[in-house]
Formats: sequence, C-alpha cells, structure tokens
Amino acid sequence: MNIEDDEQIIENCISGDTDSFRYLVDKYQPRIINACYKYTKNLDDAEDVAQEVFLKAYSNLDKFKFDSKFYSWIYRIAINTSLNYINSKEKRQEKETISEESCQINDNSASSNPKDYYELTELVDKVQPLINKLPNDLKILIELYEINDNTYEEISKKLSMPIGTVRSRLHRARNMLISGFKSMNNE
Amino acid sequence: MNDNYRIFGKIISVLNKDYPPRVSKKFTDRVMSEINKNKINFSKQTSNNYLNVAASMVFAVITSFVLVNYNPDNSNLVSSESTVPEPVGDNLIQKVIEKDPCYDDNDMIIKKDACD
Repeated sequence: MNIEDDEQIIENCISGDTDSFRYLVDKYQPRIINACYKYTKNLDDAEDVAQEVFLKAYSNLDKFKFDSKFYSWIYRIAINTSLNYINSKEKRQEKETISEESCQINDNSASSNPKDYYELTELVDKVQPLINKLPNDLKILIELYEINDNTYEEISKKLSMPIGTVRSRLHRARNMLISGFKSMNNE
Repeated sequence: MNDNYRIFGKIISVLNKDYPPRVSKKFTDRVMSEINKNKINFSKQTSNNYLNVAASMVFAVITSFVLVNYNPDNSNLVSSESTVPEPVGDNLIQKVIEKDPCYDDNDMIIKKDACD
C-alpha cells in the first residue's frame, strides 16, 4: 500500500475518515515527541505532551491552511504546548517545592519493557545507505522536501519541474526508501 | 493497518537527526483512542455552523420585516389633558401674554390706523 500526501490525509479526516489521522501520527510521532522532549527533558512527559499536541492538531484540522506544510503547522503547536507544560510545571514546583534532582534529564523514566518501545538510535547507520542508494534526482527531491522543508511549489520553481512531476518522483522515492527499509529489517 | 507511514516517519526523523531515544509502540493507539473517545466530528461542527448561519439569517429577515412595516403614525397614542392645575398667582413668576393688536390669532394682519 502506497503512502498518501499529508494534504490528502487531512482532507480524508475532515470528510469524516477519522482513522486516516493515524497515518499522520505514525509519520510524525518521532519528530513531535523529540520536539517536546527538548522542553520536558523527560520521555514520559514528552509522550504525554505529544499526545496533547496531536489531539489539538486533530481538533483544529479544519483550520489548517494548505499553503504551509503540515509538519510546520504541528511543530508550532508542539512548541506552544510544551511551553504551556513548562509553565504549569514550574507553578506546580513552586507549590510542591520539588527537589532539584527531579528537574534533571531522566532518560530512564521509560525503563519498562524494551519490547514496548522503538529504539531509533540504532537506525541511524541503516538509513543513510538507503538514501545513498536512491538515484540522484530522487535523492535531491527527498532532501529538498523532507529535510529542507520546501513545498512542492518551491521545489517546482527551484528545479524548473512541473509540480505533478515533483509529486510523482517524491512518491517513487518514498516507496523505494520504505521497501529498502523493509527488506533490510525483514519487516 | 498500513505500516508504511510508521516506517517512513522513522526514516525522515533519522534523516533530519530529529528523533528521541525511543518511542512507545502504543503511542498512536493511545492518541487514536483519545480522539475516538472525545468523538471530534468535523461534519457535525460544519452542520452546527450552517445552523448558526441559518438562524442568524432568519433573525435578520424577521427584524428587517418588522422595521420596514413599522409605521409610527399608526401608533395609538391617546392624548389626555393634565389635571394638575398650573400654579397661578405665583408672586415670583407670572406668565404675561401680550397680544399684538396688529395681529389676530391667525397671524392675519389687521389693518388699523394704529398699526401703520
């Protein structure tokens, strides 16, 4: 099964297909949790805040303007929600006078069963070879769209390429990455 | 369930060097169960908006109709004379009505020798 553009998924959600939102959560959960983790300094709290971020995003999905990328929009929600979390935590700490140790980074907070978690650090050495295997034109498109956060229109202007071609080539690049990842991990 | 989104999410987070040490496998299920629990429905929100607009329009039409058909001349005002007697004989203030002998009550000029 191919993966659809974010815009298509959002339109499906607004039309009543609630379960489509699962795809956006799957796709952006590592980056959103990491954005929250930078503020909360605690993985459990980061997941709680990220959950709130996705709920806020879903309930405001009909306000999303399609002139920006979904990730840019939800990232702003993540920052605002994390700041609110910090402010409320500081207020709680003032009341409860929590000791300084509890404010330090606590990576072991999610120390339960490792089977319940995806370890992402071990993927670093696996993903770069997948990118290197891509044809040069597709590699450039992935870098522009997924790393430099350019829109289809911006890429189209930069590369003097019709938007339809940008979309179809990006689609092909994503599928190649996913199938390469699956064959590498036997998924 | 389509697992490709989760895989692609991992790939782009690693490409961007933007990933936490680990992510709970049940994270998506938790988010989706919260969404389903709260039953956020956009079609319901949209229909509520339409209902509000329709109600506003009906109110505007009724108000306009009432204002256009309102005729202040038709109002049944009843005149009544005040039964409270005006103070007469007040030493400080007295009404003095001087009638000009050259004009009658209907502002018609009366030709008299004294008026020339």
